[in-house]
Amino acid sequence: MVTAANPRFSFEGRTAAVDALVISRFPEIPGVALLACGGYGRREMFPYSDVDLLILTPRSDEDLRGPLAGFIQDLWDAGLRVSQSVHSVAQCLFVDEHNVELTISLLDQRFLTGDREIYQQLTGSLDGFFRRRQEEVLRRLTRLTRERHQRFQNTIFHLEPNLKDGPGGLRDYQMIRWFARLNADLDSAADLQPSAAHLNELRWLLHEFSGRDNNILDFDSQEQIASDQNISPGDLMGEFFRHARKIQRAAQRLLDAEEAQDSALFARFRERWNRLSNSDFSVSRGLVYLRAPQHDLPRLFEFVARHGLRLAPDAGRRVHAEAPSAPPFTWKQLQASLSLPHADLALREMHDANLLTAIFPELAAIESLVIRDFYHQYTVDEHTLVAIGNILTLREQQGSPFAELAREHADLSLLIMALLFHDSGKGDEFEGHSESSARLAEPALIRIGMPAEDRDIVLFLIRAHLEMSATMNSRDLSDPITVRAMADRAETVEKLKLLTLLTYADISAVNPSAMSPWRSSLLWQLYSATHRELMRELQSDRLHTGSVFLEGLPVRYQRTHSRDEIAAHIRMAETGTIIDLQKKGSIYQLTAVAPDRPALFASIAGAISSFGMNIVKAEAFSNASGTVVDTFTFADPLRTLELNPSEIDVMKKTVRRAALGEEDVAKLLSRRPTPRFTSYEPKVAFDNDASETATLIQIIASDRPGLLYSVASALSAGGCNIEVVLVDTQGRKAIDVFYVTPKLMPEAFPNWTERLSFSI
Amino acid sequence: MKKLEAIVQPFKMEEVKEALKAIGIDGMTITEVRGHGRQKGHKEVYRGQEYNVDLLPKVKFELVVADARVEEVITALTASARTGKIGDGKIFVYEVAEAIRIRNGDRGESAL
Repeated sequence: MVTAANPRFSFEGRTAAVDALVISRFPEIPGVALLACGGYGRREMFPYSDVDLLILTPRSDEDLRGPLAGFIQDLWDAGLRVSQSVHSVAQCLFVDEHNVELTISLLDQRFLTGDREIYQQLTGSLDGFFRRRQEEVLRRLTRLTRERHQRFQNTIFHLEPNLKDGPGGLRDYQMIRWFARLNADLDSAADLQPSAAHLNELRWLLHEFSGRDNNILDFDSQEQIASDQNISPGDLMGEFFRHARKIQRAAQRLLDAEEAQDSALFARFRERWNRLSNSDFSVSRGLVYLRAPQHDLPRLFEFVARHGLRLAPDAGRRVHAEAPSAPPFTWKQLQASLSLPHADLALREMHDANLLTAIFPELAAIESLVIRDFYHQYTVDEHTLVAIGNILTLREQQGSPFAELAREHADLSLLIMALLFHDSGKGDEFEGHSESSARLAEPALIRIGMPAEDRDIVLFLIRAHLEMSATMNSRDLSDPITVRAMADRAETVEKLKLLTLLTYADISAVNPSAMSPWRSSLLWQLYSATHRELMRELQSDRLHTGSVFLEGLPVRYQRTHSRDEIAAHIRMAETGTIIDLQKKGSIYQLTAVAPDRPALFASIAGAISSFGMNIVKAEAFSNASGTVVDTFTFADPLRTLELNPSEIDVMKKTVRRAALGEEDVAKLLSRRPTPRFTSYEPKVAFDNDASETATLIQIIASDRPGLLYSVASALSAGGCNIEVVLVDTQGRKAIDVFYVTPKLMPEAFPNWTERLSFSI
Repeated sequence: MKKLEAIVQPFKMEEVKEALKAIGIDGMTITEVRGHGRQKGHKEVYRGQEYNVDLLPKVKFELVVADARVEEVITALTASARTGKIGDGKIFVYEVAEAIRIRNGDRGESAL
């Protein structure tokens, strides 16, 4: 806490001294009055601050010029920085679009000296004026404030904050007071008085230290002021951010409510809000209110994440009060929010209500944490939230390949969890924080019950989060060794994509210009080279381990299956089990280990689809001795298997017969309703350079039931052997990768494109 | 006095900087730039979408040195920036008419 003498006394003292000086120098001019306004009007005079004067005149003629010029000159000579304006009463009672500041400054005016009659003319009309023009003034004030916040990227968490104009600064506190004055029914300013007093003290000390009207608390002044108070700069800033956050939160709510009310679309909004309201929450003026005394916090934040609406002040206070004793969230509950479009807002609101650190005490150390370097512009927690926001807005952008990459992922919740923890280790260790962040995250992820496969991905992303930027800054991206090393680190295409997105979001959150076109083209170069390398090795890099079963399987097989899974596959091969079906959370996984035969993959895919199942992922690999391992992950949209457990066995038997070629799959599928046509234009691409022996075919199409069967049987019917398959469905889009032998001739590509497009 | 402008690969930035420092050149301006040389640009197709990759990221060093030091600096630049592959970059040398230190009005080589 800053412990300067209470600046109120200094304010009073300074104001009285300036008053005395100004009044003594003011020349007597008939009909003219002198008013104080701005900070001076409020009696909040900081060292070196401007002295705002309003000269009220009945006329704007030349004969005033001489005496007034002498007066202003006198004040400058006496060492005051004067900023004066000359207006008539009529001008004061007019809202000028280009001078809204004048109108606002009148909210803080007080009489100094001169003609009382003209002053009374003004004050007699002023209350009525503000009552009549209240709406317009509020609207303009809101817009000015938004523009000002925009200049600071809408965040208070700058490492070198502006105490006056930055979000959460003293200007925001004034704005809240002006709102309170204009809406007589509103008084949100009283609670904030201690925070404003703290900022006033800091600003006072800053002006004294700088020897001028400087409002940017830069690193030098942070150090100086902190050492004068015998505290660390970190503690000084922590205290500042706590107070600024209170002011910023109050300002934000006021602006949101004002904009919601002001909007011409108000009626439409209201209708939408009424529809959104339910028995637990209601929505009014764009804010969420709690209805019941008992409420379910995970559902509340899911609501925020879904609709992008902030908590009302009262709801925020209640969550804040409950946070310390709130029951911990499970991964399932958290994921429900994190997979929604406004997950970043939900996390921000949880952070504001201290709920985030209640769920994850591991994040407490980075709260308001200032790490000084030349690049980072925000505190660590703010950097984290900005990064998460970046990844969600990226999905909406057009024309950026990274946006395309982000849209390939329907659910970014694992990436968001990784971002949430990626810098958590900066709290206790500045160098090599990737490892300490992962160490903090691991027990937290176990505690919330995240499945081991998901946990591995999140921990991988945290551990590797600096590696792409390190590589692109210091390695030759055209060197195969660089690319090979990156591919080894990423292991799979899926992890590479997530790591690329994380790197993009992380760099973009350093400061607003950090992700320059220059840097983004480097990152893309690294991503696409590594992607190509991982695609190449899918066919070319095979295991040579000595085990008969593993011999000749792609290295990806070993990277994507646990030791237990591999052991189970070997047992299946030995016992001739062929089909295994497991339920994994809300989805199912079917594994087939069978001797290869033509159209094997298509038959299995078709048999699964014939039960109304939705295949979301598939992989097909074969070993050197002609045994195929196919893995299909599918959803059961109609809950057939769940409601009819006996169907599980029927399905396993049917798929087994299909795998052995004893089932007419086309006939099975004819029982299913014909899929409707989709609008997304399918894209087919061929690559003969990726492998020496095979052609790589990539297909992107709108997903539909039976798609995989159609495509795979078209390939088989055309005489292609499917060597490797990698299928991933994200949202409505299916991305299929096939390696087929023998190599297709480039002349045949157009013909194949047509054939495959037809099958899609 | 000569002005040297060197366009080099981004990953060579630190190495080039160190090489210049090692021969006592401390004053330089470094800019992140994008461009292409003789290879021109090309379109890259990623998952069915076309993207222009006609501008490749490079780093530009600018420095002004006394005539006597030009060859030495060029040697340091080429040695540190070379990989032997296409895209290693170029060095351009210009004549400098005058140099003035704004602080005290020093002129010529003493202003460097």
